[in-house]
Amino acid sequence: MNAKHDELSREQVERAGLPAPGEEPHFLPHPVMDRLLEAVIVLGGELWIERDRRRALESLLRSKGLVAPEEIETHAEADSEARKQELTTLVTRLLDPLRAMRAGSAF
Amino acid sequence: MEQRNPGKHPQPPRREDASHMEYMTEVRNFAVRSWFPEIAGEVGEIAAQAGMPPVMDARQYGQLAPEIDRSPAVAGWKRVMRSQQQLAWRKLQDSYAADREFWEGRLTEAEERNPGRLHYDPAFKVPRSACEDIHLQPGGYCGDNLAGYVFYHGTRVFYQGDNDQDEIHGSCVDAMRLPADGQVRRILDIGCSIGQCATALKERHPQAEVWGLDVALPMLRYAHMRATDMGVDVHFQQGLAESMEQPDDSFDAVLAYILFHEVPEHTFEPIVRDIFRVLRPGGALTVIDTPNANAFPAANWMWKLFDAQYNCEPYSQAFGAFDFAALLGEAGFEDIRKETTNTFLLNTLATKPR
Ligand SMILES: C[S@@+](CC[C@H](N)C(=O)[O-])C[C@H]1O[C@@H](n2cnc3c(N)ncnc32)[C@H](O)[C@@H]1O
Repeated sequence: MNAKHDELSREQVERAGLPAPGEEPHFLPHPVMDRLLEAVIVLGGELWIERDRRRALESLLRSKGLVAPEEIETHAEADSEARKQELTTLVTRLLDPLRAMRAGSAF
Repeated sequence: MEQRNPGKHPQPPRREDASHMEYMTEVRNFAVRSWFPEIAGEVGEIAAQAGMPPVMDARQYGQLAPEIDRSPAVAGWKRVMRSQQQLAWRKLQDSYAADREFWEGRLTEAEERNPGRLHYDPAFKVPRSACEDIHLQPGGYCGDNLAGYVFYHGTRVFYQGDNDQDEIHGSCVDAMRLPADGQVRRILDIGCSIGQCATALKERHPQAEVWGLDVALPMLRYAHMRATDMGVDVHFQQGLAESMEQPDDSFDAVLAYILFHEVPEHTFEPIVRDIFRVLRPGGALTVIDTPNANAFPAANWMWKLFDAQYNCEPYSQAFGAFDFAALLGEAGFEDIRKETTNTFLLNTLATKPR
């Protein structure tokens, strides 16, 4: 009942509709829109990661009587390299999706 | 710290990964449960205005597709679905890879602690067709030693929190057909991935010897570690469903849960014939998979084709369009029954004549 094909040509047939490896399709009218939407999704993820951690931390500090919420408002962290690096990483991860724009996608 | 449900598996490496997966689960939940019904309404209207029936075949949908794809909602939905998958896999994979030696060591340690339960030949050749990045998981099932870890956490997003205690796998096991004579000594789970049905089978049939078979060693190694940690005694074997090493007439029951829509069409027949061979007379087969049907509402076609093309399910369309029950009949099975489930999946049950 099933026609016999050799495996290679069969795979080629079955792969025909798929994007080539490494090639990112766009669904919205312009690839930039796809990239921006992805950036928003990334941003939301980063935001939740932070909120979740901050909630855990503040609740621990409060329950152990270590830090009152008002103290957090007025605290100035010493300028540290690590802090700057974290910000650079955040911006890179957030804006990385824009790199997938290629020459062919000019307005 | 508030307790997150660890399910039957450990947490991902860092709190950050758990938070990210939780976020991605919400993104998918939004896209699938809240946004998709609205999109389905819009797509249905486009179809009605074009004079199409509510349920249509692939050719009819093909005529509509260009207009449907021009809808900004459809385009945005596809972007969110694809990016959600890609971003979830990428972060998980990066996190595990950052401590690769440790995670690989845990797999090896389980193999030393519980020997004789993971069976593979280092010379085994994985066919190219099993190397696709199914569901966009980078490297697919076979390409990364840590794929089992990544797969587990990634599929938790897919199951949207409904499977943290293997509830879905448990219900597959409950839905299985068993031999009429009640004799269940050996059970085989084909395409077992990380062994969630296999362990559920052993828990349900403690007297039986349970085997899980899969082409992907990374999945099997994770399955073995997980079963070992759970204290559930299951055998895992690397092999191809179309040419198994298991002897003739050696199993009382066989399960294949969402395997067939992920294998190439030219393997359907050899797989079914090999299952028939390893089942003993009177043995029972249960296949749980996407429905074999040719007509769907336009919105379902949109999603199905999106999955096939953009969620890397290259073989799924062929299985959908295939008369699987007829193939079971041709291979010699009898008492072939299709049962709908309370999910989108279909159960197909068959028995090898006595
Ligand atoms: C969607 S997963 C199955 C899910 C699994 N049954 C569960 O309980 O969650 C498909 C599995 O089939 C395996 N597979 C694909 N082709 C195969 C073949 N020809 N023989 C055996 N296993 C195969 C893949 O490696 C993958 O682990």
